[in-house]
Amino acid sequence: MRQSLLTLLASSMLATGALTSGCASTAKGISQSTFVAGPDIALTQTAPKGTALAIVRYPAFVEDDAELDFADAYSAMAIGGGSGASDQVETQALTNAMILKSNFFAMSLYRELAARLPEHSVLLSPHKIMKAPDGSLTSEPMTQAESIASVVTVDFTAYSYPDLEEMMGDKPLSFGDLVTPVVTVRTDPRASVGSEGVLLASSPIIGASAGGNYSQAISDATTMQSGRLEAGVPELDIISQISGTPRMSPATQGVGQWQDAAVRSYPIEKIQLSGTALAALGSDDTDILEAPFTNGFANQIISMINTTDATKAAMVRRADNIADYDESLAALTLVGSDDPDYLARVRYAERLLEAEQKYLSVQSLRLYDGVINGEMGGQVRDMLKAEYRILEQRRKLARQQNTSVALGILSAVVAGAVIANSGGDSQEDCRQARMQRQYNDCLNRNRRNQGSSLGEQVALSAAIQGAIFSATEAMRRNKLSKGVGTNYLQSVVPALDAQTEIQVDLIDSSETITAIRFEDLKTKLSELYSENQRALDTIATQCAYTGPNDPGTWLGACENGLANGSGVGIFRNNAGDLVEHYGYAKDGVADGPGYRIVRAPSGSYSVEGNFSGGTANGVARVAQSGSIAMRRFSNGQDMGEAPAGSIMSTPFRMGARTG
Amino acid sequence: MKHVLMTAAALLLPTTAFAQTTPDAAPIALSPEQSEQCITMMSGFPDDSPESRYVFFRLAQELAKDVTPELSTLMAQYMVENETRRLPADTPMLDVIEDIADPVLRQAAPEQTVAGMAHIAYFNALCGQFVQGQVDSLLAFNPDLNATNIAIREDALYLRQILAESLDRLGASQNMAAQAYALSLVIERDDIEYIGFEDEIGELETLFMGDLDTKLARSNDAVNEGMDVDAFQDAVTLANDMNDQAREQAKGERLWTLVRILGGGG
Repeated sequence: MRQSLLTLLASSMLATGALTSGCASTAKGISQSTFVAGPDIALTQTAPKGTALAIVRYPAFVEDDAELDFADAYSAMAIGGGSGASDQVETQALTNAMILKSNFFAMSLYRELAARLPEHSVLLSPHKIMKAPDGSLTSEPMTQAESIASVVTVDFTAYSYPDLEEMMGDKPLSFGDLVTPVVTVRTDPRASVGSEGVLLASSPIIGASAGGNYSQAISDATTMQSGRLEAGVPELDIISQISGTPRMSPATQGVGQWQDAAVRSYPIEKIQLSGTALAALGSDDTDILEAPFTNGFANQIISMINTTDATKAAMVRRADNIADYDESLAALTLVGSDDPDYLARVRYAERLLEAEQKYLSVQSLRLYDGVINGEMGGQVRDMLKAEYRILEQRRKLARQQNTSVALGILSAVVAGAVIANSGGDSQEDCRQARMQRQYNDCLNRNRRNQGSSLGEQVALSAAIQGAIFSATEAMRRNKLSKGVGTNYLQSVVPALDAQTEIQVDLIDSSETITAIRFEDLKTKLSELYSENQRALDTIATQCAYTGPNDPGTWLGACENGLANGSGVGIFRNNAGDLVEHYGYAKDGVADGPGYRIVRAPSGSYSVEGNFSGGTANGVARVAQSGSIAMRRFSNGQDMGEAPAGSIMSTPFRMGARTG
Repeated sequence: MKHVLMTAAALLLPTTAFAQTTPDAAPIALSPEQSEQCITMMSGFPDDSPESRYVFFRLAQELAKDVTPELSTLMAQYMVENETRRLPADTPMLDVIEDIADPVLRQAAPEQTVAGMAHIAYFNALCGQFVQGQVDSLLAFNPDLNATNIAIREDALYLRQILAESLDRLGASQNMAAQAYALSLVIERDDIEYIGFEDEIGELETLFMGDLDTKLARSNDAVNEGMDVDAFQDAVTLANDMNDQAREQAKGERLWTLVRILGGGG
C-alpha cells in the first residue's frame, strides 16, 4: 500500500505541477491606453484646399476566394508570436469577428475625429481583403474616399490572436470587454521621407507599414517615370504585415517622445472596457471605446496632423486629381506658381476638389450612421454583451481552476510533509539477520515502527486524494472554460457570416449610389470648369530630364523638349535608386529651389534646398531615418553641417526656412 | 440715373429702425464742416428704398477700391495740367458717377473721367467712415442686401475700367501705378467671375449632397430591414445550451472522480 500511495502521490504532483505551470489567466486588459486622454489638442494645421485631414481605413470584408489565404496568413503571421490555429472553424469565426469589430470600433475613431476636426475633413475608407492578380493577399478600398488627398491616414484593426486556445492568455484579443487596437498613422510617402511616411504604428507592424509605404512610393515614382502623374493607395498595413511585404527598418521612438524622422512605436495593448458601460451599451449613444482609447489616440493623431507638412503630404494626390480636369495644370500644382493666370486657374481646380471632398464626406457620414445606428450596430452591441458574458464565465472558471490548482499544490505539500515525518528510513532490512531470534526482533521493531505511523498514514492518504481530486478538477474547469468559448464561436459562425454580408451590402450599396452620382458630379464639375477657364501661358507637359545615367522624365513646364520651369523629374542615380525631384529645372537639369527624394532600399532620404546644374548647392535640409539636419552642399557634395540659423530655400510656396 | 432730392437728415441720420439694429456701429468722427460737405456730395442719392440707397453707398465704396497714393498722384498730374478739370469739392457724387458712365464724355474728355474718379476717391477718403456706417445700418436692417454685392462690383468694375482706359489714352500706360491699377482690375474681374462659379458649384453641391444623403439613408434602411435580427440571438441560445450541457456533464464527471478516489484510491 505504501508503494502505491507513493506512486499516486508522485503522479498527482506531476499533474499538479503541469497545471501550475499552465495556471489559467483570467484575460485581463488595461483600463487606459498609453494614449492618455487629456485636454483636447487644438488643430493648428491648414490643409491645402480639397485635402482631407484624416482618412480612417479598416478591414471591412474578406472576398470569398481570399478567405482561406487570409486565414492561413493570419494564423502564420500572428501578432503576439507563435503560429498555427487550433481549429479551422474557430479561426474562421475569430477572423469574421475581428473584421466585424474593426468595422464597429473604427467608427469610434471616425466619430471622435469628425467631432474635433472641421466639417468634411475626415473620411472613412473600408477595405476589402482580396487576392491580387499575382495571387498574393492584398486589400483595396471599397469606396472612393482615398481618391481625396489627406494629411494623414489611420489604419485601425480590432485584432484577435488567431488561436482560441490562447484566448485566456496574454495574447492580443478583441472579445467581449477586451479590444486590442492595431493601428498605423501614416502620411504620404513624399512627406516624412525618413520614416517612409509612417508616423506611428503598433510595434509589431512598423516594418511592414514602412515597407508597404516604400513599395507604394516606388510604384508611384515608376508610374510618373512613364509619364503619368498618379498616387496609388497602399494596402492596409495589417495585410502588409500578414502577407509578408518586404520590411523596412525606420528609426523608432516611444509614443510620447519626439525625435525627427522616427516612427512612434505603439505597444500592443489589450484595452479593457468598462463592464458597467458595456452592460448599458445601446441604451444611449455612449461610445465605450472613447474614454479608454479613442480620445487619447485622437489627440495623438491631431498632434501629428499639426506637425506634418501638409503641402508635401497632399501634392501628388492633388495633382493626380487635378489631372482629371486639367492635365496641363496638374504638374504645375506640385510646387505652385505666382503667375496670375496660374493662380486664377488653380483656384477653380481646387474648388472642384473641395466639391468632391464634401460629396464623399456625405458617404462617410452615412456609412457611420448605417453601422452605428442601424440594426447592424445593434447586433454588434448585442454580440459584445454576449461575448462579455462568455468571457466572464470563462474568467470565473479560470479562477475556480486556479483555486483547484492551489488546493492541489497545498495537498501535495501536506503529503510531502507527512512522508518526510513518517520515519520511512527507520525500517530495517531483516534479511540481514543471522539468527531466527534476531530476525523476529527485527520484524517486531519494524511492526512497531509501522504501528506508530498509522495516523500519519491516514493523513497522507487524505492529502494524496485531495491532490488528485484538485488536479482533476482543475483540468475539468480548464476543459469547461475552453468549451464555453468554443461553443460560442462555433455556434455564432453563421450569424457572423450574416452580419458580414450585411456590412458588405451596406458598403456596396452605398458605393454604388455614391459612384453613379459621383461620376455625374465630376462631369458637371468638369463642364463648369471648362466654361470658366482662361488660357495658361505655361502649361505642363512631359519632356526630358537629364539624369546621371539614363534619361529621366520631367512632368511640368518644358521648353525645347527639356525641363524648364516647375514640375517633377524622375530618374535613377548612380546607385540605381529611383529619385524624385520636385522643384525647378533649367535646360533639362535641376536648377533653383528643389525637394529631392532618393528611394534607397536601405531607407529613403530627402534633400531640400537650392540646386544648380542638377545637384544640390548651398544650404539644404537633409531628412533621413532618425534625423533631420541642415547641411552645406557644393556641387552635390555634402560639405558638413550648416552654421546655426542658416536659411535654406524651398520650392514650395512658403518662402525661405531657417534651420 | 435718376436724380433724387433728399434731405440732409434723411441721408445722414439712419432711421430709428436702422439705429436700433446697429448698436455697435463705429462712431463717425467728422467735423461739422466735413459732415456738411459729405451731405452735399451725397445729395441726389436715392431715398426711395433701402435697396437703392445700399446700391449707391456700396458703389461709391467700390469705385474707390485699389486707388493707391501712387495712383492718386498720377491722377492729380492730369488734373494739375488741366486745372479746369478739377471738380468742385462739393460736386454731388451722383453727377460724377453719371458723367463717368457717359459714353460721349469719356470719349471726348478722358481727363474728365480721371477727375471724376479722383473726386470719388476724395469722397471716400473724406466720408468713408460715414459711408460704411450707412452700409452697416442698411445691412443690419436687411441682410439680404448682400445679394446685390456682385452686381454692384460688376458695375463698379465697368466704371473703373473706364478710368484705366482714360489713363491709357492720356499716355499713362507705362506708369507703374497705372499698370498696378490695370492688374487690380484683372484680379477683380477674376474674383467676380469666381464668385459666379462658386455660386454655381455651391448649388451643384447642395443638390448632389442632399440627393446622395437621402438616397444613402434609404439604402441604409433597406439593408437594415433585410437583416435577420434573430440569427445572432439563436446562436447565443445554442451556445448557452451547449454550455449548460457541458456543465452537467462536468458535474457527473466530478461525482464519478470522487467515488473513484474515495472508493478505489487506497
